[in-house]
Amino acid sequence: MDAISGFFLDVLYYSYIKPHAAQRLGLALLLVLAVLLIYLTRRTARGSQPKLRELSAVVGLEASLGEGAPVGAKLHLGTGRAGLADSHAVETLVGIQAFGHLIKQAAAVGVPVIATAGDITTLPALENTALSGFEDTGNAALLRVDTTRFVAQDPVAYAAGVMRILNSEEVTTNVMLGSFGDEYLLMGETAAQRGIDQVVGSANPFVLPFAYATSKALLIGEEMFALAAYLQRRPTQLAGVVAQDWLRLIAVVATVLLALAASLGFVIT
Amino acid sequence: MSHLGKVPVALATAGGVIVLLDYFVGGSYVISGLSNSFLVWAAIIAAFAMILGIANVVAVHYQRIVKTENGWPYSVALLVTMATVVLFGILPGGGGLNNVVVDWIFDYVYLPLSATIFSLLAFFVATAAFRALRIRTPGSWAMIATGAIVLLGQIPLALTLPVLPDLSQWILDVPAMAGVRGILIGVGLGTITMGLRVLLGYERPYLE
Repeated sequence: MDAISGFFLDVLYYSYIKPHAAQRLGLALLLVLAVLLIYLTRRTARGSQPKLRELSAVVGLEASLGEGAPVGAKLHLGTGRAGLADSHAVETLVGIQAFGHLIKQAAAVGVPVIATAGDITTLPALENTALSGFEDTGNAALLRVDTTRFVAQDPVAYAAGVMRILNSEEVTTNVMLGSFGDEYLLMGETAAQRGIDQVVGSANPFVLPFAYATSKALLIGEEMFALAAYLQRRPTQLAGVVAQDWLRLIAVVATVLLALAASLGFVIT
Repeated sequence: MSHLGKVPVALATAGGVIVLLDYFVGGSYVISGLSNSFLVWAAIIAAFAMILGIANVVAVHYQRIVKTENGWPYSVALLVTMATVVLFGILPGGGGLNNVVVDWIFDYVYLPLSATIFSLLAFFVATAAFRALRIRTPGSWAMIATGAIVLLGQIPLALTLPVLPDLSQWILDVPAMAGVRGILIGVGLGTITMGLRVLLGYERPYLE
């Protein structure tokens, strides 16, 4: 009982008195965003669906995996170098989320899937996602031992493993969504040289030029976070896209106003 | 969702909120203590995931060997090397990570191979640039042109030209930096939104 009351007293004391202004502002902003997200989710669930602009990546994926998927098609899904316990966990998470839908689509039309993980913490989530996808479509028999693979913890070794898969396992569509570094080009260029359709999503701005040169469709930064909403259209995901739009608008307005203020000589500390 | 199904969501939300509060209101003995415990537990569970990873590697490559699929000799080499490193690494009194055999494999096999694979990047950049030229969209032309200007601006000969070094630096300092910052801001916003959706229980990746 003492520990519980101590906990709440601590929260009250340290959330109002102890932290300095920047921390208080950060916490307040986060609370406002949470309320905004709850409001937008309820509004979307009641039927107010936002209009989403077309993403070329979604069109490309549906063409590769839909009913018109070519005979002998095979899909590779790569989650990249990050795991679920590091600073790029969210990028890996959104990739796995999108992969869940793609695996279901592939399983529904009988397209074999290879999903590779570059971090040990990603593997269990990927295995779960693959199992759910195949079971939901009633094609659990298509799930093989090597459908999900842990390739390597090291980024270069992961790239080498994926290069081998792209070179010798007759992959026709390659989807890379997650956290990548310089090693992306080893995989992306291999797929491009073999004429494999590629859809790449990365939040690393230094990888994007390589991805632009080697892929059929590119998801730049926050487009990767919106992909699941395009594919699955769940109210929470659509609300997230709208919330991102609002936040972006606020960030742009704030940046312009602060830049103007700084240019006019107002000092902001 | 049944009441029992709400328990994992409540636990995940509570854990996330406590770690988040530690960041914003750091200094509280109770919150910091709980937060640090959660982070240590997460690290321990992640270490156990390595066992799952090893089992997955063995299963995939064993199947390839048994079915003599394309590339099965490489799977033999992989499994033999993995077993060697694991056995010599866990030998009592063997020195663990500093074991002679483990060190040798790392220094004279793994590192040179890693450097070799990474050195392919130089050639892949050239072929990727050539492919970007063949795309022939305004974006690819802009990318090649700015890349060429920035590259040429780095060479010593550029110092003899009046405009090139300054133009190269301006491209890096202004439009490139603006683009990078814009992307990073967007990614940050997406990360916050996704994180809040997990904290609020709207996204439940641990249940799927």
